Amino acid sequence: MKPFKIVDTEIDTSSLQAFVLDESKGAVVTFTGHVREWTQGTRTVHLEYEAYVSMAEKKLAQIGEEINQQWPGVKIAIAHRVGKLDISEVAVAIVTAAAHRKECYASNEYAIERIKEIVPIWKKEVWDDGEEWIGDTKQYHKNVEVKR
Amino acid sequence: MKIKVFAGLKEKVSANEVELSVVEDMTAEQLRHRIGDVYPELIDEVYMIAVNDEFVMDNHYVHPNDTVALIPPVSGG
Repeated sequence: MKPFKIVDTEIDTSSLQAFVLDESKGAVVTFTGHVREWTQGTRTVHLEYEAYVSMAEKKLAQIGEEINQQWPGVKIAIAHRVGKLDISEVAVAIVTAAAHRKECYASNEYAIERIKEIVPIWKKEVWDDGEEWIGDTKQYHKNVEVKR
Repeated sequence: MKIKVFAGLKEKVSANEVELSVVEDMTAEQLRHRIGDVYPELIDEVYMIAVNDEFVMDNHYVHPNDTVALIPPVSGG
């Protein structure tokens, strides 16, 4: 199984969980990010995700390497979906497994924060009366680390 | 050189990529200026430049056969 992947079909969380689990692990944390209907008073009809797939998968793998350095022994798998997603569908799944829960939770949260900073994936919110690509701020995120 | 564009940038130029005549090495900053000359609709857009699937700094040299992409602020997750 590819541990870091962009997919265009429903994410199979259980295969990610099976991938990270082995006899040394005592904790598995599964985070799933879902399409939310209401954002600050605006009703989303559906979302459309787009990715620069080759780079996105490399950046997901980079996040895995960063986690290995910070929390040695944690095993991680990440899948992000692209295309049209309806309300409550899973857009991203991050599964971490570790000997103990603490590093399992911490590394899982680190992964989603980094996804939002360095992985070339974009979402478009589609409303009843319009649509907009999100992330269209006038400043690139200052936490972006341009490291190889 | 074909340069990949995404999300809002793609809609600005109404295409998946933009074409630029690049025959010699230039820095990413010079490339950005060239892009703005040919595609003025991208001048005010915020993006990072990725070369061969990696973000690069302004002083990074881009070669004519590199794979180049313009990466607007990301919004995954």
